[in-house]
Amino acid sequence: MKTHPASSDQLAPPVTRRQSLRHLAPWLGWGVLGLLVLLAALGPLYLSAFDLVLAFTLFNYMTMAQSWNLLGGYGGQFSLGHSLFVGAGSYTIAVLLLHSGLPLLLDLLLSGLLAAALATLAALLLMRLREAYFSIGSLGLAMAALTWMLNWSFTGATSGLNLPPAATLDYSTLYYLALGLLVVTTLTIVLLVRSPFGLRLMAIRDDQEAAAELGVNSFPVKLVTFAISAFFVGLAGGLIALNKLEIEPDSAFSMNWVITMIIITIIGGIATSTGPLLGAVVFFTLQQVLQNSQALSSLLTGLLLILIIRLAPEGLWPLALKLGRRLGEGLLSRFAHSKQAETVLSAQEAVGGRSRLGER
Amino acid sequence: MQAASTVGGGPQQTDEAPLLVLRHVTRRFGGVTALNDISFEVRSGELLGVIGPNGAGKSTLLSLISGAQRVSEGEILFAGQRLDRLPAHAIARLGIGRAHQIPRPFGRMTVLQNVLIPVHARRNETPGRRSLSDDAEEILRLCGLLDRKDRQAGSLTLLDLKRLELARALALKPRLLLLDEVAAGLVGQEIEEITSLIASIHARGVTILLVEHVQAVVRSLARRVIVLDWGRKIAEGTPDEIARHPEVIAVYLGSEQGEQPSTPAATGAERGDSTRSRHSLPSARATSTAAVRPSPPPLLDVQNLSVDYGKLRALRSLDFSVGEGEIVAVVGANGAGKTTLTQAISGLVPVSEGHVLFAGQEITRLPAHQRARLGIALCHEGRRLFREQTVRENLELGAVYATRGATTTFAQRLERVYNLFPVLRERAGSRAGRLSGGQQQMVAIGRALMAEPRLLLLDELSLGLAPAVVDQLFAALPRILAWGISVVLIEQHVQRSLAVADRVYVLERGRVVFCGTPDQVRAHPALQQAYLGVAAAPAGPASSPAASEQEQYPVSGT
Repeated sequence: MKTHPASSDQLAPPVTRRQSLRHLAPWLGWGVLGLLVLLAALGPLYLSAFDLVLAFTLFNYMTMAQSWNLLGGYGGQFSLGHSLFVGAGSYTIAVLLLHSGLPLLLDLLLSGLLAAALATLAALLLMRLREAYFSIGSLGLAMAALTWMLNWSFTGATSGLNLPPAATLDYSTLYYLALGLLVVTTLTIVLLVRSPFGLRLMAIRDDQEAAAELGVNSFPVKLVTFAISAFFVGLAGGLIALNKLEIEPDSAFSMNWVITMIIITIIGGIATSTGPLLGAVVFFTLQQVLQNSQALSSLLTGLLLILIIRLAPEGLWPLALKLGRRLGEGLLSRFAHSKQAETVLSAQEAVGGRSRLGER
Repeated sequence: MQAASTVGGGPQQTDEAPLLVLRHVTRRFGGVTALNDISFEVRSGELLGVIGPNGAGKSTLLSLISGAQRVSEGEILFAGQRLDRLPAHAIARLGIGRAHQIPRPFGRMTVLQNVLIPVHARRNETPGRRSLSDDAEEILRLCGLLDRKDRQAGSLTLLDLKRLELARALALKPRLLLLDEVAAGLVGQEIEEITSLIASIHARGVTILLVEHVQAVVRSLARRVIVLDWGRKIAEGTPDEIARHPEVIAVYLGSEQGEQPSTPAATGAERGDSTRSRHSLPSARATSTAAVRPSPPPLLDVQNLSVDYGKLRALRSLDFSVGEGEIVAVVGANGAGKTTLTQAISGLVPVSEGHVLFAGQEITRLPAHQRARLGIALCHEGRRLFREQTVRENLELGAVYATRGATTTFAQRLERVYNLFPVLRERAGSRAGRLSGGQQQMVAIGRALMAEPRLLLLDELSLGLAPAVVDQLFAALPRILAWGISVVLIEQHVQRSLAVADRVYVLERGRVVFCGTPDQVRAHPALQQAYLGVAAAPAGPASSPAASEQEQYPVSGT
């Protein structure tokens, strides 16, 4: 902590204030988050139908990136196969709606569970592989699944499936489903990575052998992580099908899904739980603003990715935290003498951004 | 049991029941037998030392016990239970903790989180409902890391990383602690700190298996020692018995300064060669230095050099020069700036102020690869070999960008390196990563020499290597000088580097505090100052640099 060239009685109050800010910061973070959720929950009151669909898509991006980040960021298992779970979720809900009389929410849940079950099977195959081999292996599985779906007549092979008209939901219902899923996914993952389970997961990421010698059994940890990650991606896949109403293998199992998840996570901040949310906003905004020129959009996204990897490899969110903290401390030390109430408040806001959701 | 009683009462009770039993344990990697028919017991509450040269199989031994590697034959029993079929995490949960030679922190987690991992793994062992993070903090306090508990583990210094390795192993509430070279890479004060920490852990009743190169540590802690060489157990007894054991003496070559003849341990070709070079050491050095010493323009001239890492100034207005054919030693404690100096000379770190001149040419702003082509070769601390490539391929890669105007052909240089280190010829087809530490260091030096450099920078020539290997490396130095190559030597064995150097620079916190001939440096208090903080004698047998140098070898202690 910098000592200011001031007499000791002048020094004391800013220090204590700074400490009380440290205590306040997490609560402030949660407060801001609660406000955002509340704002989102009231969305249908002030958003047009078009905006609701946009928000629906954004939420799904966030959910998927968040889930990928659990495995790829916190777990260090750089999966290239997550498209498989999007497709599995989409097709499960379509098949269930067409062939079973189960209620829609149960169908949705089952689409997540099937994705998790597939992930468990895949994990049994893939978990013996490390690093790049794991990535390639997961990519191979996803491509095999795509090929399978292109030829499986039960699911309409290349032409895919149309959801029954009865399954059509209005936009605000879809919006709430996506928002609900996002909140549940984020909360689950935040709690998970802060638990002993999360510690074990990160230890395996950093050094699996050393973790084993400290009593960590990596296999179940990685298996459960993979299943949870796939579960939420499968749910998102189900929601996407409910919105599109007609699905076919090339788009449902498209590599674009997993690439999007990875780009969003890396832009926002890998292995942070706010990063994927921020990254999704940046990515989606870029996509929408430039939707008329696809090439430019891809070009700029690629450029942004390169810039981030070069200049702020940890991602935008850690960068924002760092800048915010520096700004806050700078403001605090500059205005320490004058003790102006409003400057302290603004500094408080700047520091408050610090540890919103997962400081990691 | 005899061994324990001869030394007399220690602070801790030794139970008669063996806690750990190894029976005819063998481990093979492909065709190589890393451990061959090893049997011994560790009694409950005992501290057993394991010594042996590099490549003896000490780390493999610990890996077999911890479950990181599988036993090929034989069995390991812990408190009566078979260990050798259990996975590593199950063994850890039985209460066997291991601290690695090269720290393996969970770099992106905090220090506290690192320690929480094993605490959670053993949470069922604590009946009381104390908070787990309290447990973790208590262990961090014991290891002196409590004030750094929220730091990222990856940002710690080497000493702190070693402490963290210990703390994590302790957090398993171990009944058996496997310590692998905890003092390697540490100097003076740090070694004492870690020694007393181990002693205090042992005093709490933890059984310890201690693999260690720094002989002073073994002597002050262990009352029974086993000696491994090439995968075999060759001796067992008290430290004193071990020190008198003829086979052990043979393995450790019995030399303080690398001037005694070799032993039958080496292969025929190697033996003949190294013996010859050892005998020729004084004369070779004399001629090489006498002939070239007076030449006025230095090969390397560093003027007023400053290097910064962010806000930290690593080198401060440093002047440094190396003459043609000269060998210059740079000594100083960890963090004094020795490695930074070599990196500034070879262009791996940017220079903030000052000039670097090489053969009269200003190279301060030249990128590293161009400096290499001018004839500056750096042997990194930690070697940085191409581990997946063969020895021969490593050497070839060293020659790809040979110095401009090289006078020898590739074949000549290869022959020269093979003659310098005959073992490299034998193992030319082996992957470099599979070699022992000493052989890897030879590959690293050989690779640097393949470019026919004019200046060779050796950073930590003998770090973590056994005395016999160190002798071979030092024996090579005069021959390298005889080829007209100047050498900058950074070396933790201070006495050894003083013995071969023409001139010595003593660094302390980025400054040159003294420069002179070895004799001048020996007589000057700057050296003790640089290593020990004050020139006060530390406790125990290692009371002066000379004594501590001798303590590195079991044979010289008696």
